[in-house]
Amino acid sequence: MIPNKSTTQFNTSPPKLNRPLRILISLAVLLHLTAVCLPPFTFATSMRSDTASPLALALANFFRPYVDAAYLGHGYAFFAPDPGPSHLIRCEFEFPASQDKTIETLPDLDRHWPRLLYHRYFMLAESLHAGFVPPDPPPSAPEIISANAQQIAWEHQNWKRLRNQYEAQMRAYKARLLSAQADANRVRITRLEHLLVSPFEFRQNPQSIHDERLFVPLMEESIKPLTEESTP
Amino acid sequence: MNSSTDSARGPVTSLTQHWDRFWFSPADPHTLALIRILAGAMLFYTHFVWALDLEAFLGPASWTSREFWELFHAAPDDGMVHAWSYLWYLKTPHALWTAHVLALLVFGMLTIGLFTRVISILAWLITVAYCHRLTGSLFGLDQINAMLAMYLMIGPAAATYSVDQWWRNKRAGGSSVVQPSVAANISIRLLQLHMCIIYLFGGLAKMRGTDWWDGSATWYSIANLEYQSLDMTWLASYPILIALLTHVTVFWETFYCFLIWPRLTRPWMLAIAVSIHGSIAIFLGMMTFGLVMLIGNLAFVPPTLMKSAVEQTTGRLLQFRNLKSQ
Repeated sequence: MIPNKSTTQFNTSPPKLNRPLRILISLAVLLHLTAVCLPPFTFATSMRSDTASPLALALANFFRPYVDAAYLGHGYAFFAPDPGPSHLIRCEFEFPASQDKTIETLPDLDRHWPRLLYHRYFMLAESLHAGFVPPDPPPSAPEIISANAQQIAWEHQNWKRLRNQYEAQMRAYKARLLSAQADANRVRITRLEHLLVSPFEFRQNPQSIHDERLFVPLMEESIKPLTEESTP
Repeated sequence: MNSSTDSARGPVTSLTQHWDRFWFSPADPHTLALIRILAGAMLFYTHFVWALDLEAFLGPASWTSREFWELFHAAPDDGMVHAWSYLWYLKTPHALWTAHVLALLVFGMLTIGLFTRVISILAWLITVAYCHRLTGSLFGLDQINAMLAMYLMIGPAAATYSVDQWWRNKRAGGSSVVQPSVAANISIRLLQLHMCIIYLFGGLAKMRGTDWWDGSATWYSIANLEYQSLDMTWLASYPILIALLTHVTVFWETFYCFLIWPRLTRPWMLAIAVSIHGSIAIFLGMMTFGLVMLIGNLAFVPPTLMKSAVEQTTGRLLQFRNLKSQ
């Protein structure tokens, strides 16, 4: 990391700061750079959504007040691990005076201009999807026999926290949509996934990329495992 | 005994000298000043766009409710919220608009370099307050905006190319010499290292994916119609080119933190940065994000080069103006 002398842009004059001040600044710089590294490091070590390296988590907890207050808690995983499909939201408004329904999709290139504003709406849809947690808790004993009670309790608590967060976000979106559509009395939000076509599919049929069937509504419910009663 | 102590002290002393030279040598502030102008303009534009739908994003019935915000920012273990924003206390449209216009004024002043010592601190506080308040509608642009604003607070970002400097010269009755400073060096060094951290973890995150390894990730980026601003799907007929672009992106991001320092490889790394971020800006509908990443990359352009580039550009502009007036 330390650059070659010839590539640096500074003067070769000796440091002008006194030693105690240099030590103090050096410590502050080291602490700050550690705080900058920790969120992406923690993110990189998390193989599942609810866990990460214990070392990373312990350090991240210590630095959390500074990282959060200074808005440094980012994973920097742009288009990673894979550039997956986009997520949109479809909003169906119901009106008490009629049977009519109005449908809006967010984001909408025709309505949201300039591009940065469009991107804000795009991120609203993406963040709702990213925060989705099924309404039922994760399977516990006897399904996970090897897991201990403490782990099950922690997973349940984590699910509850994230589910509450998702429901609060959904409530906020509905309240926002209804406040902008004064006549509507109800709004239903559906998350949509816009599937991507492979280069092979595109070469076979260039129009396939515009196929409406690529917009897939996503379920809000949990997928229940098949039980003996439900199997024929 | 003495010789072994001396030999042990040797590497430590050398390391300390390298550390001191890296962080505490005075540097010319020209690079920092140009970053101030560009980052200030980006901050102004970013916040100007919020004004186009201000109450939807910041009003009482906004997309981000206080309830969701508190749950989102609460630490999983103790429930403490360390994110903060004064925008939660602005309850009326009048108060909100007043605060927003003041914020735009601050970013405008940062761009032109007016009262920059105080304004740069205010600009960072305002940027972070908006980022914290607008949870759910943010992306990479906001992260880089906040990073740039943070480091602009540290160094003399208005030592040159600023109204502050013009005012100082006017009061002194001549042009003052722009002094190199340790603070300018620390600002730029922090920015350089932060950029390295961003790219390193960006590259490592991509290495966890399969599309970045099998060479198809570039295709899946350009084939995403929600991002697409210029149709590049004709590249589907050139799978080798798509794979090449994909592999170059991953390797460039991952090894940026090493190859950006040597004189031999730095221009190449910056040239790839221009092509990749330029492509994101033009083809993937993220002009602001592409540009703000390039502003961050300017930290690696030496101030001497920056100074001569600015002088040449202003010289040409003056020549052009003189020709027009004749």
